[in-house]
Amino acid sequence: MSEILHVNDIYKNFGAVQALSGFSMSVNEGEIVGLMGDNGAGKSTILKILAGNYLASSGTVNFMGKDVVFNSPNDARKQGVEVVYQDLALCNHLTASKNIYLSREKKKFFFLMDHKHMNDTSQGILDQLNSSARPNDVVSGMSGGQRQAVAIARTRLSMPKIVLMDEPTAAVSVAQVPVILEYIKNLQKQNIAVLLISHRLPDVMKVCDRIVVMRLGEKVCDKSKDLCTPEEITGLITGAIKSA
Amino acid sequence: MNLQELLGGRKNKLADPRVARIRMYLNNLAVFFIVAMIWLSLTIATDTFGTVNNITNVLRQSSLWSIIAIGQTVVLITAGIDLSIGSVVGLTSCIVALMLNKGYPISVSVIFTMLCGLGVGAIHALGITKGRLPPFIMTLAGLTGWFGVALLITGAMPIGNLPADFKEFSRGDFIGIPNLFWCVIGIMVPTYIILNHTPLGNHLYAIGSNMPGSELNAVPVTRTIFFAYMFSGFCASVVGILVAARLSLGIASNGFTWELKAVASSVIGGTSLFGAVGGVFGPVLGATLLSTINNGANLLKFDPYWQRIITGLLIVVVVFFDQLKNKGNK
Repeated sequence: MSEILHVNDIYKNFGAVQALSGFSMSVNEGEIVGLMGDNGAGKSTILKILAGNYLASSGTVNFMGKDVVFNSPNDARKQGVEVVYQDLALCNHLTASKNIYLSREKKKFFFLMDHKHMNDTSQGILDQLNSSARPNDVVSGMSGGQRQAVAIARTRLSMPKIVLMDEPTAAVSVAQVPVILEYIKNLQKQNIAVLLISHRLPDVMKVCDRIVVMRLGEKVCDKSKDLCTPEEITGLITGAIKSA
Repeated sequence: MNLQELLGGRKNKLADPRVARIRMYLNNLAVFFIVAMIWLSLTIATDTFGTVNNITNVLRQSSLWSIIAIGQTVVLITAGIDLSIGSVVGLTSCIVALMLNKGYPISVSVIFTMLCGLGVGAIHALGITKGRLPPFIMTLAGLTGWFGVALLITGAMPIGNLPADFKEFSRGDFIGIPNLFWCVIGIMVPTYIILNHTPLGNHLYAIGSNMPGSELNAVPVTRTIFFAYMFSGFCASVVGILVAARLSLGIASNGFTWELKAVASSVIGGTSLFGAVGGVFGPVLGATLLSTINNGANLLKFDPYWQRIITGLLIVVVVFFDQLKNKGNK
């Protein structure tokens, strides 16, 4: 497996608050990496740097063998980075297909939206995800699982190199968790890498190949899942174990 | 339990787009029936309401308010508000009158005035997007600021002596329909297409629904907000030109408090003050209702102050129900 993402010595500060302090990690092609840590550890900050929402204060990001700076979500998306945000970033008043195609609407006659194409494609993606959500359904009336499916469906519009997922199982019912984990495994089968941010240790242990633990903006662990125990990970997250 | 049930969950009736569409139609239908009932009652109660002259007058007045209400609606859809509309109407009526008065051709004067409207909207959008000022504050500053500019450039004097061709347009008609109403159609049709069939329209609704989420999804938020406020400024400038033609003069107080008429027309027509809900037909119906109330109150010799009280009460009632609907959406 070749390395597709390498972040090196990333610092990020928000005023006086140091969110990331020399954070480095890598992700290989088709690999599922779990990124864990307590609240405020810097997990979402690194995700937002990789997604083009934040600029790093210093450090480098190497993606697909090139040093890159993602100035906007569009930049990251064009290079093959797709994101499922923790709050899903859905627009409640729009339909599923308009959410899925948000900011990359399919056009006809130069400027008009091609509703039929958007609906048909969205239906296909939602079917692949085994979701009962329909492309014309308004998101505000959907169940948690349907909303999650719409957010995930966005990542299927392109053929991404890596999918960043921030707590994808946090807002769904216990019964829906295995479906999302199965989807993550399916991405791996298509050789798409996944960076999975999660608080749920059982989920991470179930699907990830490697686990990275962050504490106070620094990396304190980076090793294969097979070499970790849940107790060790918990100790690293809480600070009971300093590093591994 | 199969996978579909797991990831899909149970079907929720609220997800059905037909429910939202039916609500919108019912709202517009209700306003339409209220307008029809008032028209019928006024035709019976007065000798003059049902005359061709009076109906044309009501339509002309409602046309002006409809245009600014459509502009306001586009801004409200983004969860913003444009409180400067009345002052921009006054300012642009003065600009076009001054230019015509100085002998510039009608076409040059009209185009320059429209560009001024776009410029005013761009300044508001700049303050909101780059200055991070709340739309309420930025456009409230515009309300007083642009009125001041209009007073300055006119010396607080009305500018008259406008060319006959210019004045004629607002009084004329084409195939029996007042020219002013053709202007409404001219604004309505492209706005309908933009809102319902273009990515820009999708972005306007997305920003009103979830601005941070739209930013995360690479929606060009700044550009879209610029469009909304520039469009509102453009609509206000069109009305400024038309009102100058209709009254045969440009004066700073043209359009005084019309920003509230625009908000009221839009909200009565089903636009939500919380963003992401609204269309082009509702505001036109809302404006027709308000101009009918105004006209009817005059004919029935109601104290004119009551017109303002009724408009205020209408806004309170409609926003109250809008709030209830919004709670349902959360």
